[in-house]
Amino acid sequence: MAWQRRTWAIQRIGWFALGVLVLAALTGVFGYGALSWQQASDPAGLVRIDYERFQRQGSEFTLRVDIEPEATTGDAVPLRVSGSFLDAVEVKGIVPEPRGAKSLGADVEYVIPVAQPRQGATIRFALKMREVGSHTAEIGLTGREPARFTQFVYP
Amino acid sequence: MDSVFRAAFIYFFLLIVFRIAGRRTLSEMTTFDFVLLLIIGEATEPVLLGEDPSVVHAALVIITLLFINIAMSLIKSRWKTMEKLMDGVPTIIVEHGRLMQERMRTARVSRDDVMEAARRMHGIERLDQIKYAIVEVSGGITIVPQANG
Repeated sequence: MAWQRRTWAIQRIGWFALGVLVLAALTGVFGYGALSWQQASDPAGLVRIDYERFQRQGSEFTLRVDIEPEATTGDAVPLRVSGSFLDAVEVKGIVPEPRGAKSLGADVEYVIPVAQPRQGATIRFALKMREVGSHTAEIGLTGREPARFTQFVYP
Repeated sequence: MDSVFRAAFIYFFLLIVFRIAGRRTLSEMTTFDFVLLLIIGEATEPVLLGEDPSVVHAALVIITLLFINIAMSLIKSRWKTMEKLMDGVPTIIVEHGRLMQERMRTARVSRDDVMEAARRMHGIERLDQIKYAIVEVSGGITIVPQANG
């Protein structure tokens, strides 16, 4: 009976742990939730990125990049995305479709067309998380200090 | 967060649907009932897992389902009304060899079902050897034989 009592006690603790996990999941620490939705911007304040702090491997999500009107001088915005980020994710699509993509060392520069100069632009990246673990991304206008953010991808 | 909501939705959805379907629906499984259950499982799977094949997602779905089930059993043991609401109550359908036709019809139990249960459990051949027959919350039929049987 002593053994059974001990089992019951452990089970009670286990139930409590399950409850804590469910509540934690509701806050978004395992991805998709209030704690996970975050914003990053570059030091100049020209680029703002909506990203998810926590992600799960194989899941798809949309990375939203807002560019301030001051940064869209010509008919295109050059957006530089760090190679380490592109290693960790699979780009399924970019809206609007970039006019071209150039290699800048390990990084890639996407040239995003804009209809009118001096108008804010929003670029959406449809991404799929490929690599497990933590990675840091750098996204910004070419020639300027980029916005940095870190994502953690669960297996 | 989505994992928890998906699991909770499916749990309560199935709870309500099967409560409406009634306890006799899948209690004594024929081959087809078994196939039906498999199909329901297959149809539920994409709702639970969605497009997300990750380990953490699957683990969260399982944990949420188990946690809700434990929480429900605790709630049921504390509030009897909840238990009646979710599981129903056992129903007497035969009393001292007398069939209660109206109850049997609504509970979807036939005389043959009662006699089958009587034969299987007690080797009873005649209706008047049965003291009570009860449809349990699980959907099975319990037979209490007459004392002098």
